[in-house]
Amino acid sequence: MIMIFTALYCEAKPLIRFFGLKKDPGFIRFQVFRNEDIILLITKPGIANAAIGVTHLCSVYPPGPSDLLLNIGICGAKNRDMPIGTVYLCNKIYEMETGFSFYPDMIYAHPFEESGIATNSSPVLEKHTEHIPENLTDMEASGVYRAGMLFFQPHQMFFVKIVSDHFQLDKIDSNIVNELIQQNISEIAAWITRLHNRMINTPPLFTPDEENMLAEVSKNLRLTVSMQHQLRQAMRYYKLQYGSFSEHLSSFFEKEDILPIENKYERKKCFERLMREFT
Amino acid sequence: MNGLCGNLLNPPFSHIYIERDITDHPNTIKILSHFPKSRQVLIKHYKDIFCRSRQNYSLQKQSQNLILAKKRSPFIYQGSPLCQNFGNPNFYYANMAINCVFHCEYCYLQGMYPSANIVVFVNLEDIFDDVRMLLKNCPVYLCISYDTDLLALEKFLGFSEKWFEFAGFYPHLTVELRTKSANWSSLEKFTPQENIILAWTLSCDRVWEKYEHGTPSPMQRLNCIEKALAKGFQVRICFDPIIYIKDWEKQYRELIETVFLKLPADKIKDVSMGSFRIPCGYLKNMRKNKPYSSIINYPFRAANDVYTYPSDLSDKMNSYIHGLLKKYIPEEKIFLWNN
Repeated sequence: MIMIFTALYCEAKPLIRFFGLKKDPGFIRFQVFRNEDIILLITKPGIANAAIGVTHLCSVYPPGPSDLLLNIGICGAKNRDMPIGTVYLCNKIYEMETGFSFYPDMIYAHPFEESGIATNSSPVLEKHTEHIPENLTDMEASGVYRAGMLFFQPHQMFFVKIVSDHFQLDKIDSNIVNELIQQNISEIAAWITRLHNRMINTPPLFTPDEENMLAEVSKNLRLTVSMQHQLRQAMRYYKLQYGSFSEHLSSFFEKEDILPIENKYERKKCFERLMREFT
Repeated sequence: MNGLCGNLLNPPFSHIYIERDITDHPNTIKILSHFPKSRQVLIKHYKDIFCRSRQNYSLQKQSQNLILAKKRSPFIYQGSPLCQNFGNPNFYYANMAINCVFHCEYCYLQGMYPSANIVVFVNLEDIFDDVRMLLKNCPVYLCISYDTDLLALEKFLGFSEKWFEFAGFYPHLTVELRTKSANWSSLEKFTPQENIILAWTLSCDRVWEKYEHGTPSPMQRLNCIEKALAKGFQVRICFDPIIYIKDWEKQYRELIETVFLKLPADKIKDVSMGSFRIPCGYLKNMRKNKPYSSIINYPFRAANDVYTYPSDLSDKMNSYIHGLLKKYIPEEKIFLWNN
């Protein structure tokens, strides 16, 4: 699942169209749109709203290790040499109110420019830009990161921002925002989808049959909880080293003829033999 | 735990994070000059990025980034009881870098640190000052390459060279530089010194092939050691950690035979050996980071908060390898780690 968060409907609209998302009527506090692989929530502007939106969606659909978080939106740029419409992947998020910095992992290759971004609770005006320590500003990234960290690892979160202005807010309207996202959506979508498709969910080491077998052995030998842990560890090692333990474990019990276990002494002896056999 | 197949990752050191306080430090400038294409990100403190929670160590290891930082006090640490002091009572170690470019599956660094990114502390002069202070009171035995492989990083760090220069002024200082690298091109520029010991870790071929990813082969290391001995460097050979594998006796016998066929035993300063051991907390983290690594999933036995092989196996391995080494090296030159 790719979990997308935008602040505004006009930022979300091109994504909803591009991915063919449908409104999820199960959510009443936020607007949520989804298909099988993608779910999008509109947080409303601001750090707190962003954090609440992320927490809400991730609490309803707890993300797994192969899921990704994508925060897309517009941003202001301090430098005029960062043209309007340029897409940036943020490598640092500076929260203006607290002075804290956050760092998404920059592990994956990408086709975008990179920059740090400063997140402020209110829009930054042109006259205040000298206090901004990063080249870009927005109103949500730190909130998304803070909440996202409760559910994702740092390498699963991406902050993609498109320059909409150089702190002249009167020049932006929803149509311009819509257009800026629309112009870049195919490249952003191709990149994040390719990344998501290559994330591999590794299955648990033990198959259900093997789990049953271990449970049966634990029951038959009347193993303590500590012994059960040791047994699992030994079988984990054996399986990783030799591919499978089932056949060997079955033949061990057939050959040793040790069941039933009558007392603690017998259990201890049998368990020691078992551990020796598999290490 | 998830992985990522295919080549979607950034190349190593694609990003370099630099603490604001040391942007003008000469070592920072020198290191950065080796990576003109890397993106530079300014940070306040290295722990802001290195110590983030829930980092994916295995994934970071595949695309390591570099963090340049300032080392704050303490600069020198007391040696760990899990490491050998080789008869030196004043045993210390110093950290100029954290983490390694090699990827040995059994390496304790994976359990010790939350990130696989490499931290380099550029203010070497502060460490030197601390060593000078220590030397006023007693002779010092200092290991400088425990939490990293300094020689493997030499081409862009140049720290080994600085230690060779520094140690030349202080005869009561003994420095151990431990490595798995075969970086002769750097070593050949140094002048051998009595008080700098180059300590090579050697593993048998099977362990190298399966578990020491990205390291030079044992034969490449041996070739480098041979040259180092010929040039007059003090050389220590470390069969440590000894790893239990199916045919460990045959594998380690072959390794030891090869080593002493190639190297003049009388020129080797000493040899250390010890079976694998690790603090319990570290192993727990390592298993979490690498749940499918067989070597760290061995069912070790815990005693005094340290995991080791069962004592009968550990004793058997130590005794067998000690017996082999005695054929080539006087017993007083063999240092065995024992719990």
